[in-house]
Amino acid sequence: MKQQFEKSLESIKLLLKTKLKSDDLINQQLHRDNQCVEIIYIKSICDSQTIDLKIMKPFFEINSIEAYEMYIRSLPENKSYQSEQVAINNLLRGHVAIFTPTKCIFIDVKKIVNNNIFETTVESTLQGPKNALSEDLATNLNLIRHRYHLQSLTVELKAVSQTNLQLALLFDKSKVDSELLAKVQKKLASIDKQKIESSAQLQRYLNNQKRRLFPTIMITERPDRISFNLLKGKIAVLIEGSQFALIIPSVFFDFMSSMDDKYQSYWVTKSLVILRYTGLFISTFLPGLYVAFSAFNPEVLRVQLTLSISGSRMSVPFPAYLEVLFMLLMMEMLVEASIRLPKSIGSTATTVGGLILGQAATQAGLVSNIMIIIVAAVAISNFVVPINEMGFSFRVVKYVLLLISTLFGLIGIIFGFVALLIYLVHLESFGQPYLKLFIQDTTDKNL
Amino acid sequence: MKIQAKRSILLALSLLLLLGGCGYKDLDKRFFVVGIGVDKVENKENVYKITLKLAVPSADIIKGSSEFEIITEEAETIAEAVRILKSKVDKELDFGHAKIIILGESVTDEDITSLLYWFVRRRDIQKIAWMAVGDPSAEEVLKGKTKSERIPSNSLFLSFGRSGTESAYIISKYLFQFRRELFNTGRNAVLPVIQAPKDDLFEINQAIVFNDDRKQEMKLNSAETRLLNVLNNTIDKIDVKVNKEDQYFIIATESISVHYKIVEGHEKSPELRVDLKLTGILEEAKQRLFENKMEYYGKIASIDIKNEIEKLLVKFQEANVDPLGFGLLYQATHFQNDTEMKEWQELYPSLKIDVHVDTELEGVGLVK
Repeated sequence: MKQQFEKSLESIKLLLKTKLKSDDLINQQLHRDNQCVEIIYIKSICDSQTIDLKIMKPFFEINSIEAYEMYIRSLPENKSYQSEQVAINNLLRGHVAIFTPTKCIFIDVKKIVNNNIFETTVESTLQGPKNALSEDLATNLNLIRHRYHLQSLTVELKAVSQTNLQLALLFDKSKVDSELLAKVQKKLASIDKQKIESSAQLQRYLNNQKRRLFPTIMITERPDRISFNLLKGKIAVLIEGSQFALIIPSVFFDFMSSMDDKYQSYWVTKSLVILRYTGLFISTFLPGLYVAFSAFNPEVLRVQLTLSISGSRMSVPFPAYLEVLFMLLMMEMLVEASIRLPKSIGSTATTVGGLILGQAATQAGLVSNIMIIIVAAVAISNFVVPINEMGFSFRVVKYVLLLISTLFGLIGIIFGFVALLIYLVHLESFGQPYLKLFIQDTTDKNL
Repeated sequence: MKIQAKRSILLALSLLLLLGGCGYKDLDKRFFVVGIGVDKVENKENVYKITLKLAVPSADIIKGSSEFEIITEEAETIAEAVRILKSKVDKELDFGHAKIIILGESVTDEDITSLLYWFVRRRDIQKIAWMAVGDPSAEEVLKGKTKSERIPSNSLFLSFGRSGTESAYIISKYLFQFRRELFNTGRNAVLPVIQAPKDDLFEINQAIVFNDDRKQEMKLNSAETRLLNVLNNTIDKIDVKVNKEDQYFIIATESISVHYKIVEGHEKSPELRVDLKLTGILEEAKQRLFENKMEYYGKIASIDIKNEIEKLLVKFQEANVDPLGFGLLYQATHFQNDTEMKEWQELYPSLKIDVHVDTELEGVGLVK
């Protein structure tokens, strides 16, 4: 019986050695007084100091091999052998495999280099917490647990993707809707073997629709937003190696709220929200309205304004819709360029671009002065939307409205607005209607 | 089946898009008409002279030089004239901003019913355009220009729209309002008169009252025009001059309200009761005023105002015009199916008018 087990231990050793054959795989034998212990680990992901301190030194200090075994088994995060696959996985995730004459034990000694926490860059707030998530899953869980000290917080770990990434499903089991949870779990199970590198990509697989304009899952980098949403009964999904978490479900109004809304005083918050929606409206409708007013329905504006627009358009050699399109495209390119460019060149590019677009284009008589104001207003107000994804969606919507207004004028814009509303109403995020206010009414009562 | 229904709804909805009106035409390809004038051509029967005032936008917005162009054409109808005028200009005529329509004074001597048809029926003429009578002619008024306006016709828009000056002498009348008054039984239409500018200023302080034949019946002078505005409840702030019993002072009113009632007794014939309540302060005086005599001042002011109103109402009565719509009031309160209007027409010339004025002065305008 014992012999058989020893034999199988040998086979496990062999298996690990052959399956994980790589130059950074370390296979070491420790000898003392006829007693031998073998350890196997991948050097690049394990902390050699920990191995030295916790595994090697005790071996030479503890007299009997039985006592050493006992010691190993009392270390935190020790696991015994279950199956080939689990064993390989353990080694790949930074465990060291210890083979005593009678046992095979795995100890977690992983070393994480990439666990720096940086300041928020995408969703900055004025007075909220400053730090964003890191790119390491354990650190992120740490960050969230430290904001959410409730026994009901549950973490479910799971491996996805072809590269075997670890994924964490976080929810408050006293608040979460079990139907929703089941739905998300089922969905996650179905995307098992895709290539996933970041949470944004995961979000695409989680969406039911293939082609989609508006985000139905929020991506956030703020731990305070995650804990706030967990408390509202939502589910957060974190993935190894990504600085962003997904929040499920998310509706339209979530994308329009900033965490600052919770930190400012009541009336300030209300005014900021109004400001945000105004900005959204301006950035979406202004180009279309300009075309509608200047080419289809000039009688809508008062005569004084109409004549100023008309005067400023005098030198422009092409129709209003081309003028708008031209300027908008230039603006979009500036925005895109300033995202990609290194910071040192970025400011130069925008200055040059801004100068050329603003000053020279009007002086050359290519665009009207009023057009410059409109483009500037559109560009600036687009960034008022707190979650970038939503801003991006409306950047696209704007062109659709421009097209409709070019063809049909003011009534086209109204039609387009209604169509947009219909589309938004039709959307849903994991069973939650997209344009529904106060999403988690029922669970809030339990608070 | 379901998809088909959805598709047909979508198709029907997208047909709505075609309701957008006229097609794509850029602003710089349009000529904005900012004023329309209609005059009579002398010595020719039934021929009108149509004047259009076109705004010429200037590229230099900041300086802004209210430039405009006046084009005229003679034809039997307005539509014909406009067709010919279209061929004279290089851009599309846009009537969307034709906010002022001026009838020459010569036109108002005849029935103006047929003239209004074009304005009311054209889709692109806004029904909230201001109507006025031009003296001596619509063309002269349209040619006028004040130094203060940066946009052609702007000073007229401001005067009538009350967004600029708020004068008690200016009667503002929308196209739809004027038409309603003109065709209503029980009310006669009134139009303000604009005098062509001398010394760069328009003078708008007279009004023309139309009779049942829809022609000019009488022209009101400035004092009467102002009083008409008061009686119409359209103005709150006027100045009342009182010169009586060696008192000479001016009251600036704060609020005025007028109520009309046709009172019928058992034996008496019906009479019109006018109640006017007026509050204000004493603004200027040529002699010393005393706080304790305020009631007295109010009383003599009331008598003055009462006399003026009675004079004007009797003038209307004698000319058998009804610009304040007493006939409508009678119709509304004495409904008898068709006959009440006949009754009223018999009644009106001999109607007894009873005016009550109550002036309440809030102070002598002095610091104690």
